[in-house]
Amino acid sequence: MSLRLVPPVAQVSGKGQRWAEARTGGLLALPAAVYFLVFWLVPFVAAVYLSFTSYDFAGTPEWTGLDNYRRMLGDPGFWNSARVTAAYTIGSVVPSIVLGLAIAVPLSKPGRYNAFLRGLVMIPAAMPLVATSMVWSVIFADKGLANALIGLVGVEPKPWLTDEGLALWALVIMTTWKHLGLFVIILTAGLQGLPLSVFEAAALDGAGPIRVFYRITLPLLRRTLLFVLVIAVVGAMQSFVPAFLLTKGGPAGATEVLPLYLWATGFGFERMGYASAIAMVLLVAMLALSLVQFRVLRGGEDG
Amino acid sequence: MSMMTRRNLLKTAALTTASGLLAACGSADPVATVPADGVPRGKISVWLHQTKAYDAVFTPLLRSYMQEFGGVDITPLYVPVDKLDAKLLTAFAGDVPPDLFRIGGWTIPGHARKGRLAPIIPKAMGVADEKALVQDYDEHAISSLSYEGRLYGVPTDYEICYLYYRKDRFAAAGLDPDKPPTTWEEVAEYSKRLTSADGKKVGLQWILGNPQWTLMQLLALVKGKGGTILSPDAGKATLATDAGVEALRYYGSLGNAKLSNPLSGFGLFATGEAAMLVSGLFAMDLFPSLNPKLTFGDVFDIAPMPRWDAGKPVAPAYTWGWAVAKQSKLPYTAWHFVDYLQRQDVAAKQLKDASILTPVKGWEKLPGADQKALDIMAAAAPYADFGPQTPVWNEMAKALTDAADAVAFGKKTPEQAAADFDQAMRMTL
Repeated sequence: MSLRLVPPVAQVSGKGQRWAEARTGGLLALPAAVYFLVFWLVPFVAAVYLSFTSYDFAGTPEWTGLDNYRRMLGDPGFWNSARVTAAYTIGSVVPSIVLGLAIAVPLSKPGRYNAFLRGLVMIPAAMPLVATSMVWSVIFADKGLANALIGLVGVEPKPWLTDEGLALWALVIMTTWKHLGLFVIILTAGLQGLPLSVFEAAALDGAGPIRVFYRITLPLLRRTLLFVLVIAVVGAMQSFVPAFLLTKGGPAGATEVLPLYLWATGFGFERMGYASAIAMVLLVAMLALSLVQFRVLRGGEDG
Repeated sequence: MSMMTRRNLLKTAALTTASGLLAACGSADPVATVPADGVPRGKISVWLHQTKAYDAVFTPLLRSYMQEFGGVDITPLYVPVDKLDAKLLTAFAGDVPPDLFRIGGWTIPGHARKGRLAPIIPKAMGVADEKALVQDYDEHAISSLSYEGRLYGVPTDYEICYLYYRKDRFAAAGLDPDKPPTTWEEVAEYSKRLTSADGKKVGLQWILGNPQWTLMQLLALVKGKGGTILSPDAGKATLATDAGVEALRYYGSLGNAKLSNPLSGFGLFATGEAAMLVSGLFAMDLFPSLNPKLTFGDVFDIAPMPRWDAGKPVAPAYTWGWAVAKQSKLPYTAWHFVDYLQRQDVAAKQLKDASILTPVKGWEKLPGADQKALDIMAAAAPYADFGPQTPVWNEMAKALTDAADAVAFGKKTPEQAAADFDQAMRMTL
């Protein structure tokens, strides 16, 4: 029996091959392109267009130029929601990352139970947000776990979800708990990818663990931190479900985050044009914040 | 080539967007034909919110109607009450609304202004014209379902507010359980005596954070003082007046906004933390279901809505209604089925089995409900006030809730809250 070698690609000229490859590539990319077009580009273009119109789900959108954006400037509801969103974003992102880092550093080291602990810490992140919100509504109930725990240290029970000073922080606690696991896993992966030689050199030079953390670990981890920070900020600014399910934006507007206000404006008040304008402002704010984060944190390289 | 591709892509996106928008906005004109023989036919869909008790009344009616009118096929869809508005809205936007649906009467002007509702077809309801139909119902209730002089619905589930009070709490505070307060001044006085030192038990507790109940509660206070929430033509907000500010001040002075219960004031009344609450007929069945120890007439009771001392009586009211989509191809059949649901005998059964009061003519004498409850409602009916009839009801009620809650939580003074409400409404109206 003899083997005859067949060339893997038919003999074609350089130009013809490029065409064939381009056509195949185009065909392979087509499903993704269609998906992108239908579910991203078209809604996005429609939202941009609607933001310059008055549209209440009836008739055709009426072009109003910048009216929706001008309206926003004098809308106390919008500014209240913007303040709430800012507080919620800072309140949930900072502890998530600080705690995430504090947990990731020991978990990234070789250890007998670390793999198991990493799996454990990921459980909340794997839970659906709606289910998480339901669980926390029970935890924050008058006779729930939260009040039982603070009762152990002699603190009076708190109306977590109906006190306008506490409700937002109750949501922050829940969100931090929910996202912490994901951040821990990402940061752990980043930490494990750092070059050991640098740490060995630092140890030989007699650097202590705190100095090593601030002078070596954090700078080297900058790219991973940037990624975590961007997804944490964007996630917090888009947060809708916890406020919708746990507090409905109350009490007295204390948890009315911008996505919730946007939803109420669009689907409660039927002002799709104005809701689209709010969405655009939110998008621009998120882009701007992301760019700032990139500018501040870029430059370093993990590993 | 790449430029062309980009251009084409943008063109396609613009065209797709435009066609999507047009599809969302367009609607075919319904053919509201009345069959020559007056017999309904065809397949219609019905959306309604469901309670177990109402289901037990509605489902047999649906079956018997389809049996009686063999040419009709009705598909019901039960939607949770808090999701009904959003589902209807998306159905209207997608041009696929149900033929018939049950909606809050307060949303009728908004839907009617946008041309989503089909007016009543009197012939399908067995009457010559709208005037004759109005005479078959409580005038106030059915009139609240009209917009710009046209009737777009018939009422079902009619509620006029009562003052609910806990007799056990009254007795414990040394108050006569058979003498509930009749004025808002008395309510404040009783509330002081019913409020515990730590504020965990209160007298009257408002239902906070709920636009519909906020509107009804404040309506009684503002209008009773001679003020209004919106001007009579609903073109201007008028809360920042002496009457409005005084009403808000009173609102903020009662109850404890920080008391927590998943069912808000209803839950607090059921647990006994609140001794008084403003609510409707439906709550008579609700409270025993929340706390089996609550027996009507024994542990809790009802009284007419208080009024200001020397002020005029105001009875905040609302009604749900049946409405038909303008896009429906079978409006005659839809209205015909509604007429079947609104008969006197059905109204009596609904009241008895589901505590739903259909305000047909003579509803005061319908058997099935507690006679005291009906008597109080009947006495209040001439003063029934459905609040401002405005196409922007949702925004108005939300802005009012923001103002009232801000005062209740001590975030704003009544003057500030009233001014903010008026300003928010200036942008809306």
